[in-house]
Amino acid sequence: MDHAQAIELFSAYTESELPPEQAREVEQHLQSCIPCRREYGQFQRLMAGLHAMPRLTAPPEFVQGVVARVRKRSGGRFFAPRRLVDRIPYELFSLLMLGLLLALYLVMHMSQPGHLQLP
Amino acid sequence: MSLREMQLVRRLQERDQRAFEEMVRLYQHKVYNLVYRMLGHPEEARDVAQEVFITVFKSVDTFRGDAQFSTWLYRIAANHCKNRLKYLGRRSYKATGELNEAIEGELQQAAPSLTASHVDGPETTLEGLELERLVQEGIRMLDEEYRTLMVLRDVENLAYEEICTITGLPEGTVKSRLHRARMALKEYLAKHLG
Repeated sequence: MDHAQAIELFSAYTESELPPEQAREVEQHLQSCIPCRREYGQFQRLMAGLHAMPRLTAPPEFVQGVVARVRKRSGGRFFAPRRLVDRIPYELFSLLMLGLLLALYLVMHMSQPGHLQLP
Repeated sequence: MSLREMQLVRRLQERDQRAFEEMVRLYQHKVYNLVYRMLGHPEEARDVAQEVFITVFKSVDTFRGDAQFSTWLYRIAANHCKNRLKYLGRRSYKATGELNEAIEGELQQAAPSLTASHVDGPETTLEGLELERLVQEGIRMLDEEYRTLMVLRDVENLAYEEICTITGLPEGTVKSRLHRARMALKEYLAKHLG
């Protein structure tokens, strides 16, 4: 195992995702290679820094802020049961269009030559 | 999905204001922390985190329950961050492309160089706050795609499976991009901390 190969495996090694044999190879390389050991030390420092980042909390009044924003933007309609008029009734439009197309088809079909024309 | 989450979602779909407030109260800190770590700015984080909850409420009818509710929430938050970063990027918000150049360099070289300039500094001199500041600063300099993965995995400690659901990326891609981001950030820290 060379430098590049060892370094490529730092993440998997740190997260214990390597097969035991490969993990041992990384360990052996780290023991024998000073630059890689230095790199790995820096890598561990980064990972420790990332994991130690404090959990931030939302500012006070955050919940009230969201609710106020929702109310303002929706004019109060958000917190009311949805009614049909609150949105475009696409289902109704689709049915109407289908009916219209069917009626159009029937009219054209009936008016073709060869069909019995009603007086 | 837990029973509590299922009940909460059902009440949200019924437009129950108390359920909405409960949901915001329950997830506000998680979402805020994620958004803050992504954007690195408290005012932006508050604004975007609030927008995340509004989107959740508006689109809760589309939630099918295939994933955890929190996973769905994280996906919305990640998308909001992505859009905000694009918007801010157009307004020259990003400080520098230094780390992304480092990642590009890694892509070309397959591995970073080992030079004498990257010598470990004494660990004992590192102040926790300074390290946190530098890590946050470094994260902010990563491209959005790298930044999202690093925050989800290394800050939020999410499982790879959940990250794949949130980002829609295959696990192999997640892992390789994350490794590149870590290596770039490692170089950044080494440069600034010695």
